[in-house]
Amino acid sequence: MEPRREDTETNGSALLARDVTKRYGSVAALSGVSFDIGPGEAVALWGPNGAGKTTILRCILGLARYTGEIRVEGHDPRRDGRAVRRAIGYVPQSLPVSPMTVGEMVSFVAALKRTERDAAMERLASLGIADQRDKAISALSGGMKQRLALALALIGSPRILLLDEPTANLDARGRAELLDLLSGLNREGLTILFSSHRPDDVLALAQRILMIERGKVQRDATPAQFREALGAANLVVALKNGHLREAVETLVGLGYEATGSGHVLTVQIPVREKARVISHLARQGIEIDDFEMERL
Amino acid sequence: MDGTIVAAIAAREARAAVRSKWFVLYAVLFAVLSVGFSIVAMGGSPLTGEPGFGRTSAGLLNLMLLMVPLIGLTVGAQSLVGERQDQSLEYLLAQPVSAAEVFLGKYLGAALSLVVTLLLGFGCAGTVLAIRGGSAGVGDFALLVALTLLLGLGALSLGYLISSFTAQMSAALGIAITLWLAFVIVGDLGLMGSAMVMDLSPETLLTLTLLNPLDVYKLLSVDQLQASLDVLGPAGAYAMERFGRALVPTLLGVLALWVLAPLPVGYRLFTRTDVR
Amino acid sequence: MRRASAFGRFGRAIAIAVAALVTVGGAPLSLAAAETETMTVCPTCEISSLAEAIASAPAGARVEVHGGVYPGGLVIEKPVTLVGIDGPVIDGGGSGTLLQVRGAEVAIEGFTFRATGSNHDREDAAIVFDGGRAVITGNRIEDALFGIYLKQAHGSIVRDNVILAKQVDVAMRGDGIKVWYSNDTLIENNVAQDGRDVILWYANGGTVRGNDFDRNRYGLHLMFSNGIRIEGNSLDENSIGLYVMYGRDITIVGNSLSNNHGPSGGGLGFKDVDNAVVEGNRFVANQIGAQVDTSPVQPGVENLWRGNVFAFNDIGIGLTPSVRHNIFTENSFIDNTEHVSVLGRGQLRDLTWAVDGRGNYWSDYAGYDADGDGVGDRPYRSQRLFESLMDERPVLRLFQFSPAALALDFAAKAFPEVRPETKFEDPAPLMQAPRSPYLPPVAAAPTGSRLALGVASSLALIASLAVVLRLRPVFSTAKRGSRPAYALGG
Repeated sequence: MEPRREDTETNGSALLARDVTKRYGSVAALSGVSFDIGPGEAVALWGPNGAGKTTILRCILGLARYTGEIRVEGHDPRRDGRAVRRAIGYVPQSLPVSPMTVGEMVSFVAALKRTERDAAMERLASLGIADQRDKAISALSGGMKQRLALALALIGSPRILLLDEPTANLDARGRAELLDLLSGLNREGLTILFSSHRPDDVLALAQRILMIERGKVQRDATPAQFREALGAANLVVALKNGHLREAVETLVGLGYEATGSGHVLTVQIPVREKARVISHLARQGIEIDDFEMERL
Repeated sequence: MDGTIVAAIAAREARAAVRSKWFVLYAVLFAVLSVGFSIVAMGGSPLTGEPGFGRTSAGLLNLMLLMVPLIGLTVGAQSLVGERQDQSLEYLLAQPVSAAEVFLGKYLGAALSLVVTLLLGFGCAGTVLAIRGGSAGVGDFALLVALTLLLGLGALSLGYLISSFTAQMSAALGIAITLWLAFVIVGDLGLMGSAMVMDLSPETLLTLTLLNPLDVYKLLSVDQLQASLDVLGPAGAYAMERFGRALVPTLLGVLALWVLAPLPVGYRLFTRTDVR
Repeated sequence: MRRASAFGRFGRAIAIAVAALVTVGGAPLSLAAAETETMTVCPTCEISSLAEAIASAPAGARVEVHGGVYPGGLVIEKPVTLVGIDGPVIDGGGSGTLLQVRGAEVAIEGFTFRATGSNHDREDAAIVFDGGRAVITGNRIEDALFGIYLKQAHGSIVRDNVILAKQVDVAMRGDGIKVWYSNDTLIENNVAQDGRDVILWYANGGTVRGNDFDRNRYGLHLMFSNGIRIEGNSLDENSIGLYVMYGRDITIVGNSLSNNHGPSGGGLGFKDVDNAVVEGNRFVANQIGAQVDTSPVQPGVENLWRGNVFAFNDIGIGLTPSVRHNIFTENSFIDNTEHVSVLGRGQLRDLTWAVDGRGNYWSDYAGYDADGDGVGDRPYRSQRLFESLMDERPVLRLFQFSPAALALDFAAKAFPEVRPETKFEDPAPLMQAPRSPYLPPVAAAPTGSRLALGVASSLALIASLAVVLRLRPVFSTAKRGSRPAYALGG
């Protein structure tokens, strides 16, 4: 039985939300959230912690109650949760540690999705973690764990991927690898909705950005508009005598996101704060060859 | 409801339980206890001839009464809360499964691990008994095992009920331990006091006692080991007279109710709120 | 072996009896009668009716009855010996008494008596003696309201009979053996089951030995009977194993009383019994091993309990507060739920718990024997709080075996303020359970179910181990050194 399509026209959307509101007591976690995501799109939910990104994902998955309407490929999470969750592969912020091996976990999730175990194991191979099969999940590195989470989400060939802060617990390399994988999947036609509070992750993957603040979609932005709105830029600094680690530590200590390799330091800043960064580095006795601003 | 999914969840739950340190602790403790119990209660001696149910066996029965509900309640109370706390419940429910499948599957898995714990102990006990040449009938022994399993499952269901609405492990365990104390000691002490102060009739006292699954278990096991409830005084005699042949089925029914009744209540509480 | 010697004795008894009759009866008895005339009865014989044979038999005749079924309602008024050969059956068809003897010495041997009436007013029985003397041996009595009923038949012998009661409602059953105003009766090696009582009324002297009285109301019941010796009987699964009411000079030795339960039931019951010796009996798994009410009654008289074993009873010995002057020595109290109970409100007084420095064995005695004389150096004191509460209010027995009861006893140990008064004190508790030479032998435990138990338990063990090993892959992952970390509840 098709669930009440007449009420909410889906227009071929992969994911659709209309006026979704979620209250915890008198506090509104979401108020009037609406969006429409087409098949094959990669969309980011961007916003500070507590803005309501995760709550949106939970509503879509049918894990939280809400008012308003949500459709996942035409299915209503409240009426037809199983179909919704079959269409979706979900990657949590961090995969829960359970006393199982990788192989056991894959078998388990395959059973839940009523999929062949062998096909599930192939997923493991395609993500390059087949050799970890007999390892306990708790013994995996952060990057491997996220790969496993992705592999588990892909079991049963869902058409939509939902990811909650997928890069939060990863280092720079792990982050880059995961974003690469996701981009590839998106190119293969997978619809992706992910939450993040990191502008560079958002920009690396999303074609559209839903900017969430205080439970509302403040803006449905293209990457260019997002960059604009953020007003952020990368300050690229070439160091004279090395001291790269010292410089990164100083800036991280000041609350910036800084990375670097060789002589080159990259720090993400609001445009106006360029002078402050440079002066701080100078005060630490770190000499600078050159610097330039890179708009995001 | 999909049986394959329920089975998969149950298997995972049982696996997790069996791999926990609690399982080892409980299994070993219980095995030691039941071996001791069966040797004393069902063994017999050259001076007395037949095996008998006496003070020592009563003491061990007491330990059973203390331990089995404690195992059941704590295992049950931990089961949903633990996963709620480490987000794995949320992860599980984000898969194409229904809340009912998760609820039932996890209960069955916990039940399996509990049954295994108890059967390990009883298996050791029965084997030791057979080697030592105890004269316990296999029927009597099996009945005692079945009773204890029922008691354990009843406690498990109650613990699971606790687990279905609590958010914190500490809260769940706190409630479980409180309930355990109430069933094990406080309830009976209260009834004893009332019986003395208010001169309760055997009938009233028996009826009130049937509210406590531990007392029901005790009545049943005394009836099995003693073939009579007269050791329990006027109230025991009243129970035999009132229920006659229906005594054992009635008491078994009460115990079974303790196993089954908490589950629908727990399910309602489990699905009442958002997954946390 | 035993049967053969019993028949030997039986033969001698007949010879003596016949000789006595000759002397007492004097002139009327001819020499031929003294030499014993033998008649044969069988369905195809010249005499096919047993009643006819009895009517025509001369006094002192031996009537040999061969296999076949003969009607009941027989009456004998002269001394004869009835001998059953090839299992003749006397069948009453469910009415009346099967065989009645009036004032004669009659021996009855080797018959099956079947299907008496069920009239309690007439006291329908298999065999009734009105006076005379009975020698009843080796018979089988089935479906009987009353089995053997001896009225004023002094010096009778009832031996090697099996008496199975009529299967009617318990309240409607009769007595397996009833002895009424008959002195010096010997009741030996009989079996009586599923009836009301084996009962002796107003009987002085006599012995009840080696019988099996099981699943009756009272296994053995003495009313107003004195000087009776009760020895080596097995009294199991009755409401009360042995009940003695209003008697003196009773000796109870080497009996086994076990699993006797029922409304106010138990192993042994005394009511107004003087000068009893209870020695070397085994009381196991009864509701109350022995319950004693106002015994002894007469001043200056004592009852002695020596070398008995009380084990696994709900209550080992229950004494009403009025009981005085009982002596307990060298008894063993093993794992009774309550060793000694006061039945009713009051305290135990004037009881003796040790003779010549030898008390009793108590399985829960926690003292020590530093000087190694086999007697504990500290007295055994019965002082449990929950026990004294139970004695006062029997309804609290419901809470036995509960952790709450345990907690109460524990509290009483920790806080002397709530400790109850000492119920009794054995000044010289024995360290080892003494073995009285009179104790009956212990039946070997049945081994049949052992194998079944072993197999079932091993299967349970193997099955659960298999589940554990399957779910807990210690071996399969250990070799990779990556055994999973275990999470709680996970």
